[in-house]
Amino acid sequence: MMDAMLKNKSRILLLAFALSLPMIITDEYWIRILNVFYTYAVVALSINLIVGFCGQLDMGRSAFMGLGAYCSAILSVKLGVPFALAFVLSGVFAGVTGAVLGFLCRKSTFDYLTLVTIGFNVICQVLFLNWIPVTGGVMGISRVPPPDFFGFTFDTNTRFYYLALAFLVCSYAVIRRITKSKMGRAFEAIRDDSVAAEYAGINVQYYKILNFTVGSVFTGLAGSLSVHYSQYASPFNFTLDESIYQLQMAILGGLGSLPGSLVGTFILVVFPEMSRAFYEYRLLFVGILMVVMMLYFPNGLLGNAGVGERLIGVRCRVAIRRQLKAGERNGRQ
Amino acid sequence: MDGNNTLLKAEKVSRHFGGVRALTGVDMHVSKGEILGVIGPNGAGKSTFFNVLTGFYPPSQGEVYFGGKRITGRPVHEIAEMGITRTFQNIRLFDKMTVLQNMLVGMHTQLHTKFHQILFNRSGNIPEEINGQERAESVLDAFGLLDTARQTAGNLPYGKKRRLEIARAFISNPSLILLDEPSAGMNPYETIEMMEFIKWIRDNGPTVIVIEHNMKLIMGISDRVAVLNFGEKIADGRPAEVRANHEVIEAYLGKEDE
Repeated sequence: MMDAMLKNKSRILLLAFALSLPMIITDEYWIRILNVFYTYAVVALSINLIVGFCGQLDMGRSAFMGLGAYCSAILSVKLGVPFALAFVLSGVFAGVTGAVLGFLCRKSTFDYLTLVTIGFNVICQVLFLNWIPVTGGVMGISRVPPPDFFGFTFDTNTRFYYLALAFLVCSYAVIRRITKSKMGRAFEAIRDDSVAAEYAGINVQYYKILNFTVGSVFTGLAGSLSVHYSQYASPFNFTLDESIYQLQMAILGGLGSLPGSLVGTFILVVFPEMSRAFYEYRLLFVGILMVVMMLYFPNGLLGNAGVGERLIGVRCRVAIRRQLKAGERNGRQ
Repeated sequence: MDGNNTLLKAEKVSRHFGGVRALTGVDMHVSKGEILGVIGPNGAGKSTFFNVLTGFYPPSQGEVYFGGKRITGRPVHEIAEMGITRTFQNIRLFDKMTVLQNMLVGMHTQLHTKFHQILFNRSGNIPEEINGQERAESVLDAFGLLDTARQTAGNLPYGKKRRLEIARAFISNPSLILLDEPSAGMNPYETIEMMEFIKWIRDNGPTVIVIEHNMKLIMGISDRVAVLNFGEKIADGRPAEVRANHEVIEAYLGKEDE
């Protein structure tokens, strides 16, 4: 009971902190980075849902982000659809594509699914680059209008900050509820042992498709939001490299841990922005980070045996050492 | 034998893997409320028989009926939903999940939470989840696992893993439980405990089929024993009859010299 209340309190505090951040940080540049962090955090959460909870190693997430982004950009620039509708439709579009791909891969096991998703990412990349009448080719689609809800336009960085924050909080809540429910347990059961899951009455293929669909909806929505923010859909934002970078966000934080995804995204989005030099070498930095992490936190920063448990371990060791010393002292006396 | 009392019936079931005949023309029936023991030397087709009954492999020939309905070729999860669950020779738990979560996965077919309920409620506010958790805890209690409910299943000691696997199969309210070598790797004391559990399961609803190599266990609890050898059924009857059967002794010990 106490624990739950404490958790609630810390959650409210964190939210209040996030809400007041634009008043503390006055630098537009950092607000901008935080906005990018919020949209990417949703992508990392969707990756966590697919890779961390259901155990399906998907390495083509940025393709779905791209599908959402292009769908939203095309709808609002070429057809003049209002933002709210374009946003929802891009989620639906990414979800349907995810469902179709999931259906085709319903029998694929681990490594084959990974290959299919990599292939899918490359296909989407080629499509964005070469279907010039629709996607604008290398030029992409520019002048995408900023998000706008019934007359209120989120056109400044600070305004968008609140929209992105709301989007992240809602996505986090929904994904968390899913993972805590019967559905989330079915995903985890499939990850741990799909044969035993089948014997527990879980329709493994159906749940795999469902997982892929739900994850893709969130990735698509994040893509849509990001394109309305940058106001430009570029085919180079949705490459395989980008997918792997996003996957690393989820892995760094800890697969199967939702707060972990936020932490992982934060590290990989914010740290490279610290300095230009840092940014140039970000892949090197990430590579080293991954190796170090595999050595000390094989399940990610907030996964099993992650930072939290490590800290408790250190505290225990310190306490034991102190007691031993006290014992020695007593012995000497 | 009373025809209405038959729960499961296998008719001339065969299963071939290429040229290997794992099962040939096996007839088997199980009555409600009995414990059927299935024994046989290694490689006799016992596990294949389980896999065919539960739909993991469709039989190459023959039919399987469960509760009067034909279930041949149905997918595993449908058969599981109809009421056949099993445990495995090499324990298959959801290792990274807690003991309680393992039990809740076992209740999958009984929880009917809808998607919109998940979206608009915390899991603590969905009555089904709460009831499910209570039931899971009561079953864990019956299996002596309640104190481990919050532990990760993969970290349990071997004996408890076995028990959890059986508890997970039991909680789905099946009418038939198939136990594949439940006492493998157990010491004599644990084996006796396991015998009590199997009897307890039968007394609390489900019919039980058990594969075992431990003769003490199988002869001690089975109402009926079937013997497989090289994929064929060579004997079927009360434990005492089977023990005296000439063919069975031959299968296990070899032919006597003239």
